[in-house]
Amino acid sequence: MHESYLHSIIRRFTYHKRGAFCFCLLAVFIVLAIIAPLIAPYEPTEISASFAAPPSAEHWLGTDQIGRDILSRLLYGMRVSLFVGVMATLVSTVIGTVLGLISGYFGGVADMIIMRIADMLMSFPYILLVLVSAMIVGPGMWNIILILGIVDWPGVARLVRGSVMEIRSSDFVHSSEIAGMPRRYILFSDIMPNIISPVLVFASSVMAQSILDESALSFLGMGVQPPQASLGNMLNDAQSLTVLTSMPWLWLPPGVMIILIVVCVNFVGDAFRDAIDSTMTR
Amino acid sequence: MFAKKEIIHAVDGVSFDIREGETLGLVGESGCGKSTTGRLLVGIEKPDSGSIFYRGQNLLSMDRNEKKRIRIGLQMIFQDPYSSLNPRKHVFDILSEPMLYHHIATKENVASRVEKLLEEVGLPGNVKERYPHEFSGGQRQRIVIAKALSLEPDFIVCDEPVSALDNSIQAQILNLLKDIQNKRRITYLFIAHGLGIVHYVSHRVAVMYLGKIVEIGGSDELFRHPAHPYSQMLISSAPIADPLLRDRPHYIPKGEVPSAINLPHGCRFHDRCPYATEKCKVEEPELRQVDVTDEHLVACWNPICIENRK
Repeated sequence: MHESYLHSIIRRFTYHKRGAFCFCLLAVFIVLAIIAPLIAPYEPTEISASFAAPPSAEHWLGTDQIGRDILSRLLYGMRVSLFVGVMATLVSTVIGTVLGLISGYFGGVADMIIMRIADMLMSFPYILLVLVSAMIVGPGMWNIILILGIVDWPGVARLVRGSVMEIRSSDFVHSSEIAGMPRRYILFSDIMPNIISPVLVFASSVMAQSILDESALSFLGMGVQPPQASLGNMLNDAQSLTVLTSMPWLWLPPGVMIILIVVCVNFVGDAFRDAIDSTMTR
Repeated sequence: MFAKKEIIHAVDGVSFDIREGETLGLVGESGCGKSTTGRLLVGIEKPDSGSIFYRGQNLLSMDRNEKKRIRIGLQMIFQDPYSSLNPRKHVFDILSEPMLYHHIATKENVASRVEKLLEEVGLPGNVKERYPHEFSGGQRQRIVIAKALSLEPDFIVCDEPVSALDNSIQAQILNLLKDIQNKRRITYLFIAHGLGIVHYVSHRVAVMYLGKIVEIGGSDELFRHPAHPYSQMLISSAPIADPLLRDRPHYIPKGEVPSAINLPHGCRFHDRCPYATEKCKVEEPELRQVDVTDEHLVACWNPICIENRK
């Protein structure tokens, strides 16, 4: 029996029950986030009822402290948080992959410069770097995406560099060199397909991290700015002790949603890592 | 970062010729520079100095286009059949892409060329849609051979092509290589540490020690009458499957192989050699003929002469 590499990954992935379940749950969240404007019962910024009303038939998850529907804000908040997570991961993965490829394949001065910049970025306390950057360029969704993207690339770059260095000295790359194949063939046809899987696995953890970072920044007021909803700034209300103790509907939904999304992303990443590991034959 | 740069003389002052259509075996212990020599010939390693002549042309002083054209005539088969095939490509892509790039095949006839190559190495043509991980080591090595043959080379470096394989499969691959040589008149540089294998496939054999060729000669002649003390030790240390020969003399080298960073002065073998004299410690011997008439060369001040060799 022979099957393509992709098919064997999908087969092993679906075998991973927890990963498959989390993948489905995540897919539901993503769909809900995308169709939020269609299914949200109220506008996310619309003041539609009394302040901080507990859950009721009109407002399933209650309303917040200025009377906005929590369910609607939760749906829109997911939209923002997932978007920031995906975009920040995309930015950092693209930067990291390109720089890692250059660093690993060409080596020499380019490698030294890129890796020293990476070391520099990684030697700052992470949350401080993000906070200070957010203060300098100002808060806002797109700024957060750029900041997280730029701060997160060294990890990807190191991973890619290591894989490229390993693969470029492997016999099948030598064999392509001996066969007189051009450099673009070796880079994009020999090396790239072999580093995509580990990069995707790594990207899943970067994505979970980015969603958490966005929440933390928004919670601290340096991220997505009100009135735009995000899971993080919805938690902002929970800063007061009365809210924390007597109005759980204000902070429980966004809090639980952050946990669910991050846990799902991590489990999907785990399952995918196991699925690409062809030494585990199942 | 601040460590002193140490230069490892993996290969130093190696000089030999390979004749068209023959198999030159290259033997020596691990780390003596056999593989480096092979890699220099196919251009995946660059020498600091020296020249490689191929049909009268120096490969190292060619311009890029010419080199590209000539180089594909020199191919290599690697030791590990598991790492020498890209795991993300199926056999068809592995074999067809270089042929298409070099215009050896056209889009129309590439499929039949691939099937023909697979049949030539003893695999059914319909395996071309499979991925490398679906094959055994021996089958993979056949695909590696097919890949080398796809560019119609006339010289192939076989870098320990069978040492990662089972004994029964080793013989199959060796015979395949021999058949291909007879059919296509391909020249091999056959690198191995298994002396029996080298004796079996080679017309001539070169013995390497610490980055230098110490003896070179016809395969039968060299195995029967080694002239260099090192060759003698190498050959006598190989087990022979014959109980009657159990009492043959064993020559066991004393000491360890010196480091390739601090090479010994004079003959590189002198501190392990039972016949070493004062001259060996000072002057490095060059390859010279053992007897005036034959093509048997040895780099030794006190070669073992015929009488003692028997």
